[in-house]
Amino acid sequence: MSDAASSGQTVVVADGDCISSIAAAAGHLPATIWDDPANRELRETRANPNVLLPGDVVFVPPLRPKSVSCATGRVHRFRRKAIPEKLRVQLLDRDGAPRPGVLYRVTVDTSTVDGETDDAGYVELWISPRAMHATLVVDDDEFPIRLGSLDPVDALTGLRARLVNLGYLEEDADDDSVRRGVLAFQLNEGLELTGTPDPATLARLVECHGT
Amino acid sequence: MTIAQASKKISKTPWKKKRHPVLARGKKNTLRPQPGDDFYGFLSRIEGPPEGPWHLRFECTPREWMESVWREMDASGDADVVREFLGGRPFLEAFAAADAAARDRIAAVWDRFVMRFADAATAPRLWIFEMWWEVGTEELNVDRLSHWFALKLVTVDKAVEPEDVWKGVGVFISTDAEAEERAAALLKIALVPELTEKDEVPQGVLQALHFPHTRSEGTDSDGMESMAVEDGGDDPDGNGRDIDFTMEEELGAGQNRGRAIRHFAAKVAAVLRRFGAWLVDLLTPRPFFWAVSATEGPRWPLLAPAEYHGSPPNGQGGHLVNRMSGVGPGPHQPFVAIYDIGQGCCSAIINREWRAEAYFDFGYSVDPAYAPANQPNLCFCSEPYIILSHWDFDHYRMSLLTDAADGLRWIAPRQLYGGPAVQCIANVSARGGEVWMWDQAPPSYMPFGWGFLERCTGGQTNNSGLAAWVCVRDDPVNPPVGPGAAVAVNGIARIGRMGSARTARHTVEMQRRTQFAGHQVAAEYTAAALGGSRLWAPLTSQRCARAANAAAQAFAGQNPPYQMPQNIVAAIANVIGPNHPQHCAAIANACLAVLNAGATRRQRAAAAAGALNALAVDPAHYAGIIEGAVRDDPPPVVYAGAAPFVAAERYVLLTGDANFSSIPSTALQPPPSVVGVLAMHHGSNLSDGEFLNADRIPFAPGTAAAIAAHDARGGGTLIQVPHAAVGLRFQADITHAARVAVVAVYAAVRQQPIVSPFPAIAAGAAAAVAAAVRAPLDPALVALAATMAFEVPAETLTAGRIVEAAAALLALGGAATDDDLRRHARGAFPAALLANIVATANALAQARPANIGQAFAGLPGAPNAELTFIADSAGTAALAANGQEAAALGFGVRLIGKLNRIIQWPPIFQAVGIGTTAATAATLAAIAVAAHNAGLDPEVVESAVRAASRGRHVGATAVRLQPQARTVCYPYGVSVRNNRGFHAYARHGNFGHPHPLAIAKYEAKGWTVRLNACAAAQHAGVQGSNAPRGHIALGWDVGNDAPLNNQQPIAFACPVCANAFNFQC
Repeated sequence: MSDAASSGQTVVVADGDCISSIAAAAGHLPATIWDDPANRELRETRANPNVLLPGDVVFVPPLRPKSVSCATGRVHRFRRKAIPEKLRVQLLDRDGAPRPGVLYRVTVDTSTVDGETDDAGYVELWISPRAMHATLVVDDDEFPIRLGSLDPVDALTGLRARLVNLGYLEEDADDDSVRRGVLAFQLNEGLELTGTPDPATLARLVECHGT
Repeated sequence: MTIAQASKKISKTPWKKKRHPVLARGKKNTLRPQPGDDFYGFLSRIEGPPEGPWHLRFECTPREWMESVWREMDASGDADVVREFLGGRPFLEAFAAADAAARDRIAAVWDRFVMRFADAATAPRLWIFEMWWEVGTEELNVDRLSHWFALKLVTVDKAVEPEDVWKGVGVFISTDAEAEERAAALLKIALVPELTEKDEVPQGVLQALHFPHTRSEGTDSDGMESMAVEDGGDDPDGNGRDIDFTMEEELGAGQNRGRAIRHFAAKVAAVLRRFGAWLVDLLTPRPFFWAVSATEGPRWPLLAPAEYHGSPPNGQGGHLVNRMSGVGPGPHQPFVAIYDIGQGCCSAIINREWRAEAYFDFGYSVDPAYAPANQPNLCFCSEPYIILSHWDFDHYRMSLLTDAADGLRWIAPRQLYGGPAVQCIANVSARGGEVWMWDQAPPSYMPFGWGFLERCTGGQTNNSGLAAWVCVRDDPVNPPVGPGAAVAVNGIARIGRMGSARTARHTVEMQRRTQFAGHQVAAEYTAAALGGSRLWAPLTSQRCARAANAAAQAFAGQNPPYQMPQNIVAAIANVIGPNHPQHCAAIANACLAVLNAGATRRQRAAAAAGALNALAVDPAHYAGIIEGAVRDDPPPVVYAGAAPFVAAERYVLLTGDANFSSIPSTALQPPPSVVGVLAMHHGSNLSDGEFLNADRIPFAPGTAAAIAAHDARGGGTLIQVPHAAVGLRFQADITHAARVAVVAVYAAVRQQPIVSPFPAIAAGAAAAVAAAVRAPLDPALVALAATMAFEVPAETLTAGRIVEAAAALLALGGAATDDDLRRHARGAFPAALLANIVATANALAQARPANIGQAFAGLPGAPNAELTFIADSAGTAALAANGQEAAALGFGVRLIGKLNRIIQWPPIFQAVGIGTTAATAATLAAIAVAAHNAGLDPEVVESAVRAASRGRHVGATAVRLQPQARTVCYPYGVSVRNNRGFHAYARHGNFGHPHPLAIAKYEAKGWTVRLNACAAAQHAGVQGSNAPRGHIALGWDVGNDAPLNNQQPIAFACPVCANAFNFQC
């Protein structure tokens, strides 16, 4: 066992990382890492283990040795526990109403899944925690998705990403457009019109986006 | 690759890009299309200082509608005509290069495009979007005016609060009568490119389809839908018997109902026109019916007895009045009516018979909060012309609220515009009216009995339209004929397919064709048309034929009994039968209307339309059916060159939104004598990015301003703008405010050298400081300081904030503290300066006198300025005390000249360390001294000096001895109503209406009697005015050779429809 494996290690979060992907890479369950006392500050800063900011530091505890008695001369099968992750996307129409019964196709890595949104308009399927990219096709729209890259809402990148997903912003919009997008969101949600991402706006943005 | 193919080349627009969502694993994510609505928005207005913020107005057409139309045009081939016309060039460039054939081809396409707006089934719902815009955030500048933008707006059904506007929310208002209003946030904006994706409409196409196109006279070579009903049909031999059409046939031809009705209406109109022409022709040699009716009681209501008593009795039971137009004396006071229509402009030229001869602008409030409680019931009984100063929505919105003017003749400048203007033109064209577009470049004019129109010289919408000069004294030789060199030019053209057809009617060939109808034939045709239609369902064709024939026989027989209305009705009733009394009256009225050559076109049309009204015809189609039958006006004529005018005449000048500097006749030396003026751009200090040009505002006759300007020049010495830094020496005579102002400026220069290149800012800052430390403040001084500040466009934003700060401090009176100053001046001063300016100013205020004294003491050879000044001041004061106000003013102005010579001695400046910045502010001090000594407002002094120094005193000289006339009308105001309305110009630093600086400029030219047209506006704050609000009359009481009596409103009542207004004057 290496030193790192025996004493644990710190991981600096990169784009696309979240606790699930880090845990999968380290051989842990996500809860093992997230609940580790050494990550208390991280938990307090990032309420959601699936939404980390690049640069965040995550402590990965050492793997715990497990002893199993086995008879020699026989073949044994061991199964490592692992938790797949879900991709959950709710599709809305222009007015914000769910779109049930919409046919979709999702491609993750090399596998493709066809389906139909549920009554609440959800696309929902299991994916590998380490999957970084997916493609969602709905009607004539094709969405190349970056998985795990959603930053916290109080980061500018996280704010922009949510506004983009909710239709209030173009991906390459300038800062003035971000202000207009925030303003439009506030207007549509009946919030105080400030044009700035104040706490009430951020909270409602998380609520509307779901993450 | 063909041009058309090249034009179809795809270029991406921003919101067509593929989205790349960033999602979280495990948790819910949301994907939603963009929630807003897409529009093509025509940028029709940018208002505000160059540095912003700007107030923008977009005229919005739903994107989906526009693109579906473009697809249809693609399928029909019309789109290729447009592409061919553009040839890959910007529209205006293509238009300039196009020959007559090309213009004819695109005009035909334009005809079809416009008519989509005339039918409710095909017309789009149009919107206005207004918002504030921080300059520098996008590629959007004044050059983008009249361009189309792609907009995405997020709208909510919510009342817009005033504070919302300043937080970035726009107002979204439908242009129809319901005027639905929403809050909206602008999500995306992009200039529509010249080349677009397949379904998107290119910039050039949008401009080409909305621009008013005209066709060559009489041409029909391009496949345009033929107006056979206009050209006499296919009946060159003149019997016309093969014209048979019914409403059923039109409806059965596979057209929609709206189109079928239009076609049918046009055909009926043609038949009626021939019938009418025949009747008129038949009866012209005989005494017309009007003369007979006088003995039997009036067919038309007589002129009402109501009368304006501003003029003296004429010895015949009436009063002497001016004529304004027509011949002979009339019983009423003519005037120019300015209606309270909220935010916007709508005025009428009311003649001596109290009939509206023309409307100049036909606007109505865009913002419902400013609209009057009731839409004014305007009078159209005399078929007035509708003249638009320019194509700005608040100058023609009334046309979308009422169809009463759709059958009239419209005259407007040819300009770029958006959907609402097309809607207006389509309505007029479809309902029998005429829209004439003034093409001719300035100088060009159009004379009328009541005065003249002239084309303005500016480049943008406001300043390139029409201004009206209305004669209100009526000199006997007015209107003057044009000079010998006056040339009628082909500078105006009627637009639309109706226009094309009617223009063709004036050709020799068409005239020949329209004369073919014999009376029997005409009667039968009329009957066939009416009887075969659903419009006249209760009548059979035979009955109608007999009715019309009977009427014709009655007229033709010259049998006196038949010329009596009741006899005509009886004759018709004999044919139709007793069960259709309404129809009898209808036909009789129509015939009488045609017969009554003394009646105006509008009266005849109204009577005939009224006849149809009794038969439940859709009112929307009255005019289209009837107008053509009774109208045969020659086309209006535009003359090239400067408009002739009579020096002895008195004019009311209606500016629209045009700056005085763009109205050609204001440049004349002297200009026409103006006795009443409608403030430019509703009282704004800005139009099309240019500040209100004070130099070209005419001097008010007989006022101190005119006398002062004359005297300033007449003294023989050209007085330069004074620099009265020396005024610091004479603290006993200079106002405390001015003194502190100068000190503060000095402080500013010393503390923040960067300010020094901007003396105007410093002048405004000085005023603000003065406002803070002096009570009571002299508001005129603040206004004057700000006026000067605004002369430097690059500094206007800051200067505007300074004015705001000064105004806020003014409201605090003498209670202003240092903290107040800091709070209110935030943004007006550089932060570093702000922290120290008060303390520095106070310190320097204590220190300066000694310093100056030392400076003078150390300057051998300095003039004995003190003695000179004291002597001159005493003389001025003596004149003022003796009531010789004007003389005192002139003396005061010359006194400034003396000061000027003193302070232009450079060593003084150097010695006291005052640069040009302080000198500018010190100018205020000198002006204040002179004004104080003369007992007048400082604006008057400044204006007089300014006019004299720039050689514009000639206008003052010409009018200084005329009877005094000082009335200016501000057709707008600023404030809120019922706590829900707002106006984007409410902060006067952002050019409110009327703007205090504009008011100062008008007052400096003597226009000091203020009337406010908008009753809903409060005219609060520093724009405060207790002047009357509501409908306004501008005019001249010739009987007394004086302005209209402002103690007695004009109680107007239309002699025909009895619509009544009280006009303040």
